[in-house]
Amino acid sequence: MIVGLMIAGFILLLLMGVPIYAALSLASIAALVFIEGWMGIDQVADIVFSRLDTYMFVAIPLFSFMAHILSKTDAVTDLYSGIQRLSRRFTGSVGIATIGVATVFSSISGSSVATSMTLSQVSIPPMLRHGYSKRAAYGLVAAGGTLGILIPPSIALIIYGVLADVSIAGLFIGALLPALLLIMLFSLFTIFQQRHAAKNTVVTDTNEDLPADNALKAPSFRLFFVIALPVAVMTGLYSGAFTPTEAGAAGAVGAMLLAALVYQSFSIKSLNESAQRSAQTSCMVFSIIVGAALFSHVMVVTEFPTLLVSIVASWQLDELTFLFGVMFIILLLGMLLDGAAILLVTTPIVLPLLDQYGIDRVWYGILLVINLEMSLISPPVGLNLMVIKGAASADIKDVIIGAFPYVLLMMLALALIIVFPGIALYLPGQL
Amino acid sequence: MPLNRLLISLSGFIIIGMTLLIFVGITLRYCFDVVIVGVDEIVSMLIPLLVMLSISSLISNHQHINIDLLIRKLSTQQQQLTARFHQCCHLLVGLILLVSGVGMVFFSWRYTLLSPSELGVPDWIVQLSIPLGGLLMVVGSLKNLRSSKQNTQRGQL
Repeated sequence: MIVGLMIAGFILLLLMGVPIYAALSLASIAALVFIEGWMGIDQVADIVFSRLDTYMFVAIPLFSFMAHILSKTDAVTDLYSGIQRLSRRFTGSVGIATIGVATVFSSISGSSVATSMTLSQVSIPPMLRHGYSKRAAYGLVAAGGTLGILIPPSIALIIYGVLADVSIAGLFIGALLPALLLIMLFSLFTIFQQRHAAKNTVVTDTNEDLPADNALKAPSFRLFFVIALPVAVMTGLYSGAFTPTEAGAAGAVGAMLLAALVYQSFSIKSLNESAQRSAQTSCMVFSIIVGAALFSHVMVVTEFPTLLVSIVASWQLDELTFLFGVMFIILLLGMLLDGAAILLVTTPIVLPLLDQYGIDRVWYGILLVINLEMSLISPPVGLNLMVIKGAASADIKDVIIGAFPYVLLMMLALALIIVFPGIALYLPGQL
Repeated sequence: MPLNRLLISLSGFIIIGMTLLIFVGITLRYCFDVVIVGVDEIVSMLIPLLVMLSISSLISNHQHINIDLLIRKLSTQQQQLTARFHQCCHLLVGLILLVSGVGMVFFSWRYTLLSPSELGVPDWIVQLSIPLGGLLMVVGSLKNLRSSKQNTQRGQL
């Protein structure tokens, strides 16, 4: 009953617009006081400190720092133009370039919001210029942005790895094939959508006779270094040369070198600004982690996961039905809650159930993160929808309708990975 | 607010410091076969400090993630009221962190608890970040409450 009241209190505070970290913290502290009296408050600082004092979490500000340094260069514009140049003979080349940039930028930033914000500025104007409908352009940017939380170095996967006590490198490598599947589905859909549009409109995004963007003249050597940076960082991580935290530091130093030597846009001022921005964005994530740590503590004190395990066991579900059920619940939660909150609140509850069913934690982690990707473009709370609305001054209705086909594609990918776990587990098995 | 600018600058320096420390550690390990003892521990200790220094600037700049679907439909006056309620929530969390943080630091200091690694840093020094963060949250939210009250009074005039 206490857990029920705590969850109800949390939802009530959320609906009142209270920041997620404060809603989680206050609901949990109230439950603690209810259980243990005022003595419960004494534990708060201990719980907060021990949660934050985690070596693996150091990777979060470092990868964020790397992304902020690169966002101050012309790297994204170069990427966009380079990929567009490679794909310009195909129908939907601008759309494919957008997905390509989303893929590479995600591998630099590890953040969906950063990816969608950057894509909104770089990709939407050329797509509209090349005959894409507003809905198609917004939808593609919203969906492309979601790749940020799946493609390594995903912050969501780092947090999940710490909570579930699984190898972060294993999660990163496990996310590669599912990410490839999503990229393929998005690209095929874009080509299909633009071919269909080409039959109905005069202006289409097909080819090289369209006026070339100035950025198309970006030197190839710059592009090479931009792509080489995440590849080098990830190679170091997968080969065991770096821990995820060290990979973050190496990536940040690599980004500084790239900004200084290749783009010649490095300054102490921009370095400071990047560090301060990454401190702020990391703090947003960490404050929710703190709230969720208190929430999990109450769960453990009340032995709620044990109770849940016994209840679910009595239903005698098979593994697939259980997984589809959990994914459905997370999908519904994703329409109302922020992805980080879902990840942090549900994982401690679900982990004992996973162990009971013998479900691989890496597999579940990948499924969870794809589900969270969907939450980013599911109304009414989809964060990426809001980012695009703000960055492109778009009508929210256009953004939601444009993103809807991609939600369906993600559901398809999710179902495929549930039915064929090898998509997520083959590569980690080779480690 | 100058205090917030100072705090966020310090947070930025912590990130730069962590990056360089870890990178030097990697370089020494691979190039000179030298291992710096305690790098992992030092950077882990810096995370609570980083968070607690930045958290009050997020409060002041209203940058925390929240869901404002219902709030946006309220009248301006009601929105002002809910904004004050949000500040009270920050204030309460800050006060709890301050009180329980002081208790934690005092306990570690009294029993001279040290970190279990080779560095053996006194726990209370590292734990100071929690009550400090609580104090900064209290100051930040009180300042916001005061300025929102002044804005309302100006609006009424």
